[in-house]
Amino acid sequence: MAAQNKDDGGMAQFHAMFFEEAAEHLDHMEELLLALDIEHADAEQLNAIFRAAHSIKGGAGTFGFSDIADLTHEMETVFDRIRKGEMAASAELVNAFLTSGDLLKALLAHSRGAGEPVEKSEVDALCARLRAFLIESPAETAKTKPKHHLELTFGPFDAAFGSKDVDSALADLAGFGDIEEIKRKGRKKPLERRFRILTEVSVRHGGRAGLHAAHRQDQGQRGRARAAGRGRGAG
Amino acid sequence: MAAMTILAVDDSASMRGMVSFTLKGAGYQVLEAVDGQDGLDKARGRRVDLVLTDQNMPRMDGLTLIRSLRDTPEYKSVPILMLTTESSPEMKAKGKAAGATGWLVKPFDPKQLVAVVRKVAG
Repeated sequence: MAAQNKDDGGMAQFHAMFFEEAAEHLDHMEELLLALDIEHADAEQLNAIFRAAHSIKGGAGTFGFSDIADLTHEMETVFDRIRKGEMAASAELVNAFLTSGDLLKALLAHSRGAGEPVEKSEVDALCARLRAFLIESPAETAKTKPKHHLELTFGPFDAAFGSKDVDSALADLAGFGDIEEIKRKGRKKPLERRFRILTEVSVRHGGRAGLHAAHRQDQGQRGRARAAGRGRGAG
Repeated sequence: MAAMTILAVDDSASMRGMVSFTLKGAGYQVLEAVDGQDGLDKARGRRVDLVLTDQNMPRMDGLTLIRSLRDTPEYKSVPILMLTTESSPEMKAKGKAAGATGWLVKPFDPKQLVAVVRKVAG
């Protein structure tokens, strides 16, 4: 390209434009990150953060600033997952991005001759830190399963099903969660036995727990828990 | 013969500048647009001979721009090249399905850009 080979002034002009753009993108990204509601992240905010990293990466690659391109590539990859709902944002992640923004500012300053050099090891370490988020979160929406309290009542007992049969049924439920019996007083022969279970099995508030089907599905066993329960979410 | 006109669509001013500088140096006229919507408005405002577009842009992304242009009778067969950092097979397939003529990956080599544009647009 004749103009490019003979007119370095032309390239310098684009470098200066890139530095200015990158600085604006970084300021905008920082504002968005600080304002981000992690629990209810706004889609357009997430897209804007992604585009900022993406734009800096494109320019850095074009103008030969490989450290900047490498770091923004990692940022872009992580935020692409978040904006697609494949992983959740977190305070740790936002902090990592803010740290990345600070390092990018230092890299840009040095590239335009206005700051101290940045150790490559520092860039590599931050890239590794960002990649670690991808390893920790599977490529699907990473949500902590809510826990539910179930109150389970076995009974009233009859000839077919008695107190001794409850223990057998509870053994089948061992994988469901933490089980604690609610002790009754004053009865030698209880007509029923009640239990409290803390479980991740999804149940409808105030409704009957689908323990039979859920248990079979969860444990792959044939046994039935002859029980009905009311569920409520864990407080 | 009048120089061919290329529409360069990118939300990055420095990228538009580089593309414009490169293509003007090769004898083309270059019209710049700051995002997909701006690109669509400018393409409908005057005839261009080739469109060069980024993918990730605010307001309207590259794929949407391409689809909109292909829905416009004047642009059914005008060459449209994507110039983007995206290079996955999935994205290229989406580009092709949208109507892109070709794909250039950033960072781009200026000589390669000129060669591809000459091959596609003349």
